[in-house]
Amino acid sequence: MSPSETSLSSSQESFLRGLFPGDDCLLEPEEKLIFGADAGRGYAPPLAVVRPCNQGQIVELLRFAHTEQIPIYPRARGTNVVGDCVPETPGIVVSTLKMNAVKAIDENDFVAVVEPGVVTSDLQAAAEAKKLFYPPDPASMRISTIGGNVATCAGGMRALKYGVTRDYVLGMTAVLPGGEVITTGGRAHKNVVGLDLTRLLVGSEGTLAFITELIIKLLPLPEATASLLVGYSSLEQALDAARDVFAAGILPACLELIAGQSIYCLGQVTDVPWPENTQAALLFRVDGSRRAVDADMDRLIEVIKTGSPSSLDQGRTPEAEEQLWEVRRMINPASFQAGPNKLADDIAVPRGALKEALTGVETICADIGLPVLNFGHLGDGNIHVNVMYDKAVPGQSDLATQAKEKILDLTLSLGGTVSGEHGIGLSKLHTVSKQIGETERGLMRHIKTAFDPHNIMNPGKAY
Amino acid sequence: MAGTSLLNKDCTLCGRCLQACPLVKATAKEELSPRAKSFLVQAMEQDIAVLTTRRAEDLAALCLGCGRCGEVCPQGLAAPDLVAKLRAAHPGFEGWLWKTWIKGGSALWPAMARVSGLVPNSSTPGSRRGMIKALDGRTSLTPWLRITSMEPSEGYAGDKQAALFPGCFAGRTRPGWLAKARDILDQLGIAAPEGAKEPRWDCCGSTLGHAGLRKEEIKAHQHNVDIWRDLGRPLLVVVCASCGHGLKETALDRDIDWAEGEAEMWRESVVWLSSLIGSIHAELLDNAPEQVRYHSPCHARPQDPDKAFLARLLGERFSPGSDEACCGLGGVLQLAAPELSRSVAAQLWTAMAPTPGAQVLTGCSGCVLQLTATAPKNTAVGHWLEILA
Ligand SMILES: Cc1cc2nc3c(=O)[nH]c(=O)nc-3n(C[C@H](O)[C@H](O)[C@H](O)COP(=O)(O)OP(=O)(O)OC[C@H]3O[C@@H](n4cnc5c(N)ncnc54)[C@H](O)[C@@H]3O)c2cc1C
Ligand code: SF4
Ligand code: SF4
Repeated sequence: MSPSETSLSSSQESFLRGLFPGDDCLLEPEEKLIFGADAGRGYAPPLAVVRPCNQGQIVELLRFAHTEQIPIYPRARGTNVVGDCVPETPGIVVSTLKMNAVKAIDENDFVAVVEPGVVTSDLQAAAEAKKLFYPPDPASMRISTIGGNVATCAGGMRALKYGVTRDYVLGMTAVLPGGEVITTGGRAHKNVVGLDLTRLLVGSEGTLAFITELIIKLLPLPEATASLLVGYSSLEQALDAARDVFAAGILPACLELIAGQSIYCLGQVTDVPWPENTQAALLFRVDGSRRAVDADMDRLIEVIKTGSPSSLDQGRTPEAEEQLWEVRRMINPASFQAGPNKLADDIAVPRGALKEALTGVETICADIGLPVLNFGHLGDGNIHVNVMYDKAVPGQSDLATQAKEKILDLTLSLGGTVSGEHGIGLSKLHTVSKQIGETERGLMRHIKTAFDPHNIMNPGKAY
Repeated sequence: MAGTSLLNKDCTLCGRCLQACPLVKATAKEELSPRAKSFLVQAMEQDIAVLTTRRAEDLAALCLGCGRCGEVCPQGLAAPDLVAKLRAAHPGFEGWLWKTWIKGGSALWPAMARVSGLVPNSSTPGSRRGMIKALDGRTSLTPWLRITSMEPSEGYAGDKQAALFPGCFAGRTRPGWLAKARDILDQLGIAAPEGAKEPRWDCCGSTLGHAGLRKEEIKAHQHNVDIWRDLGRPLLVVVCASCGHGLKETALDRDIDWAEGEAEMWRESVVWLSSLIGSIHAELLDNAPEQVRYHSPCHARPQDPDKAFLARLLGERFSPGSDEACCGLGGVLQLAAPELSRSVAAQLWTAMAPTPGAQVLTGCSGCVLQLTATAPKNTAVGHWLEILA
């Protein structure tokens, strides 16, 4: 089949109907519609949508698609924001939502064995029921799946202390185009045999193989947590305070920054705990045993007080913590106070370059004349940059795009990356060549061909 | 598209609503999700894709009307609102049928049984029979709790006038609930018109609206508001969460001739019977079941007054279990896609896992209907009023 073909033949359709009986094969445009879009807000019509219930069906499907050279688009909850699930080259969208079994939570091995369609917070709840802990906590953990998180290597607030999704994938089973099944890694928490195919598949954005089962590493569940929200009258003070905390040997589980316009917008929509002249805020969380948490909080507050904060609020009970984190969660809705549309990026820079990155972004947007909101995971140098604009005002969309490109160039000049956690998909594809050299990209293409000689797995995405 | 669109705002496709939707939970079918509904309408209105209007609308209208998507959507989109507008634009056979069901009351149940055989998708005589049986007024729990004393709750003590809003279902098939509710009002010393003085309320309107019968909905709303005014704007006491929800929603109806501030006054006057009860003492009879589970109606979310009341009243015997699930009754959906309604119910029963001999209580007539029709053997279902001797 050539990429330009926009429909399946009747024999191809009947093959799919046979393999995915009843409602598990969708061919009508109305039913297929939503499967052509994702949270990146792009759309292209799928040729068909299928819903496997087991690995056997995926094996048959990938054998068929490989022979017929029809593109395959793995899709979970479609919450990625970069167009990863949009079938731009017409093909078959494969929904993983029926493959959602938690097969094992093993408190001796400290692993979970799960199918890819399990919602991440369901995995966390299943682990917690056995006093175990799956730390990665993307803000979308209640609305996205472990398979999607693995395929995008999702990050979260707790990445500072615990790392990202990649650090919790011990092994997996996946189906290659052509139908062969591979297994990588295993239940052992250490493993150095051969090239690390597990890590290669993590973050591959569905371009190499179809993941059917994951072996996930778990930790003991921390007994307690506590949080601290601190306001500052300048960005410099906030960044200095973060540096002092690390220098004092404290490693919080989370350290979030709220800066500049974000502070202003929050003040417009909610009761904020800091005084009027505040320019930046830090939100810490510590976790561990009850006694360790209390001691860490005391020490943290001691260090923070040396840096003359403008406000300091602590939460040592779940309810009190919740109130502080609610402020953080309000940033997204509050951002629209600055404009009805946004261009969002999730740049990451080396920690030492944070001050330069943040002030540079502010300067770029001030020069262009658009408001910008900076906030995010200060601890790992991963900043969410939201350029706000109004697409109804002539010229503003172009200005926002200009700002975005300048911000990405600045990020790269500081030794950073254009995406810390959301991935490349379609929407950032043009930036990859700015960050990664020709030889390295050539290697990536070779790897892609080794897995997928006919380029049917999520073609045209990621690298 | 603001102004001309059926959507109040664009759907950003963020996917938050998938997690809230009982249909998605029970079926794993994304095409039934609130996001899919919004995007179907958006795609038609903005020419994003070539779709057959009728088929797109039918798909978008497969909705239980539970309102959970509206609780989580950052754009303030709620599928029931959208579905009502779609149906209002193209009323169809099922809408008519549902109207017949709700408005016709008990007299029409035999007719319903007959007509339902004509609905193309109703190839499920088993569940249909269950539903018809559930409609039989004689199915009710044997009382096992005797109230020995009770006081009005703090907020409602005093001389405030009240009126008991019967609701279509209780009014026609469960007069026992209303008798017990009146009894409770009496004991609390809250006056409400009775007997010949009792006004003839209309349907609360919500089922009519959801079915796309906008004109009937307005008529019902206006009729009820007029009665309320005639009675001197009393408290409107409900024994059914769906009626409570529908009455509260009346306040949002811009086609009613509200005076300034009156809609808000109406909204605040709608109260659950259980929330009028303050301190209460009761004794268990010999036939009290060991396990009492509870189903929280979607229309009582997020803070269900009945659940809080029963927890107080029953103490340790009350073990609600997982009451997060939706029962799946779903208005018109019951007629258009009964198998969906059944899978949602099946999921509820798996999550709730009542022990044999357990009783399941709830506070909504629609839920009573659906739960009775789908309950596992040896599990009795009823409104909490039924347990009172
Ligand atoms: C409100 C909101 C908040 C967010 N917050 C965060 C955040 O804090 N951190 C973060 O990192 N991201 C965040 N995201 C982005 C998004 O949630 C993540 O990218 C998430 O990992 C996507 O998961 P999903 O289940 O929706 O996968 P999808 O979007 O459906 O798919 C993502 C990718 O995974 C591939 N894929 C899915 N399943 C398989 C499989 N079985 N085999 C092979 N490939 C597969 C798909 O092809 C696609 O390329 C957020 C998004 C939203 C809307
Ligand atoms: S109202 Fe309930 S059933 Fe309908 S789309 Fe929203 S969450 Fe789903
Ligand atoms: S939550 Fe609202 S905006 Fe987000 S996908 Fe659902 S309907 Fe659209």
